Amino acid sequence: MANQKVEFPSTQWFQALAARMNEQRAKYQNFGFVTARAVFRVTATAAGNRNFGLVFDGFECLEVRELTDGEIAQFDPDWTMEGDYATWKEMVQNIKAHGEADPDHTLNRLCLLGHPFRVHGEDQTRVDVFYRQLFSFQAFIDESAAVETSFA
Amino acid sequence: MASLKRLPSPFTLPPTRRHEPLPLPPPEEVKKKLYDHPEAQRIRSGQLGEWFTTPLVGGEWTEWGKQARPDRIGMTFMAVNRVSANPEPTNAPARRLMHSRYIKTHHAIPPEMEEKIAPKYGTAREMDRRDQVWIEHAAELTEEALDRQMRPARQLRWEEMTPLAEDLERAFDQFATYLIQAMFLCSDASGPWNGLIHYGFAEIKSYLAYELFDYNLMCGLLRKRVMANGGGMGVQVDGLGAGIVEICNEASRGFVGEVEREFPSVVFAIDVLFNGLLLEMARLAAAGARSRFDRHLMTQVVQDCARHVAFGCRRLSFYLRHCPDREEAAVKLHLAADRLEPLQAEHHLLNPKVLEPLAVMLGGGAGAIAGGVRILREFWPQFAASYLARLDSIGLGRRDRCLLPAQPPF
Repeated sequence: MANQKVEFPSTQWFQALAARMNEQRAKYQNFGFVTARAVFRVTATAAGNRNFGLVFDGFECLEVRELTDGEIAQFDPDWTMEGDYATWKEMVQNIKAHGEADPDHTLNRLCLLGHPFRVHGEDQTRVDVFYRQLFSFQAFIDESAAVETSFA
Repeated sequence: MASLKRLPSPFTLPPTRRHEPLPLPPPEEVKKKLYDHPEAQRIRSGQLGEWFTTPLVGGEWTEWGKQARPDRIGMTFMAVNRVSANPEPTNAPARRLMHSRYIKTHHAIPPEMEEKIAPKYGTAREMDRRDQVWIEHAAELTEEALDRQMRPARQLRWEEMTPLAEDLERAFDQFATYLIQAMFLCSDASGPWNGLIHYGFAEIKSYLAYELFDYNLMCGLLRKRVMANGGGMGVQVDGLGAGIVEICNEASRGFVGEVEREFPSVVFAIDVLFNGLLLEMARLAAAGARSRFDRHLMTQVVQDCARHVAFGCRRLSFYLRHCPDREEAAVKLHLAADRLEPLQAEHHLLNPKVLEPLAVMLGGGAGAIAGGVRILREFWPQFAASYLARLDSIGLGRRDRCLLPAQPPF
């Protein structure tokens, strides 16, 4: 249901973003296709650190699943974007308030200095996928503007 | 006022045409020759040529009956390669130009004739080996380059451009002027190489054409942006191409003579090092951009540069794994890096015409430049860190000899 609140962070919350991406093919075609295995990591939540593995292919997000710390390597992400719960919450609230991230809350801005967010991975040439397809990932996170989010 | 009366030149200039032109045959003779030409006679007879009569299977024709279907993205190189009998180029030396993994060579043309038709040097036969040209996942990166190209008419909303305070407009315009200069440099340095790559490497030829298009499209867009928001073009950045021009000129040998040329050095200089630095600069500019429009433009530069870096890394990685003498190849690349890193650090990374506008944008105005400089200082280690991590990945580790400063010298 469109107006049902979805808790952040959760698999359902990322699935809601994926669903919005998948139903807007034309919008994402405009940015170009995506091929990435990404991990969004939210640290210092009430339940500890949470990891969500997402598989993007073409103009869709095909898979969303929560991963334990030990499962991340097996998931084989191109990149991991990591930040603490407070920063994630501030970003999601900012996107909700403005319809998209304002200049101080874009993924690029938050990751620029390696804090409060950090993009990293085993292989820099795979981490670079984040920058190669940045429009799509920003648009994906900006989909949260249309998701009624509650915070744990 | 001095007289404008023309004085005779003290120099004797050579004639512009040293020889008398060859006498042209009379037009009637040319017309008759063409009319009597065997091909003209055949066309008049209504007979179709060899292209139509050669057997579709077993003759000159290649891959008749294939029906490629669009994949998840569309009708891509990957989709075509999926049904092709030759999805990747082989390492067999090319005998002709168009003739490649896609088109058969003509059985009736002997090798000595082929050499005359398509000499190796100065043509697309110069680079016809996989280790000279190929990359892993060439089709995917090429399609990405096409798919992620900026479509100005659809993606840019010029009406959303926001007037900026004069100091911020000036900072953005200076940064854009720097980017324009940088991209023209890349375009000019890498452009001529595409003509030396064999047609069998269709994905690579396409990729390089798209990369050239990226540079030139962005140059045009940035100039339009600068001229459309109350500002103007900034000042030239002296020394921006320090080391790059020399390395590229030495590598190409002026594209003259029957000599081996050094494409890997050009890829290293332009795609891995220079575009790597541009990528980090564009990330900073996207973070400091004050309007949605400008942020959008800088994000496109981030994507473009990251893709160019990806090509460079894949190219060198493939080269180092497949070239005849890996050790010699690595030494040559290290020597190029030894020369480039200190020059680029001094003339590019530390150039006030690049750093100061960034600091103004990141700080939020000329009066707040100290805040911008703080961000630049904190960001600085990433220039070398990302570059070195990429080199580790492609098998050209140089953590023990890198001359890009790991810490900000300011």
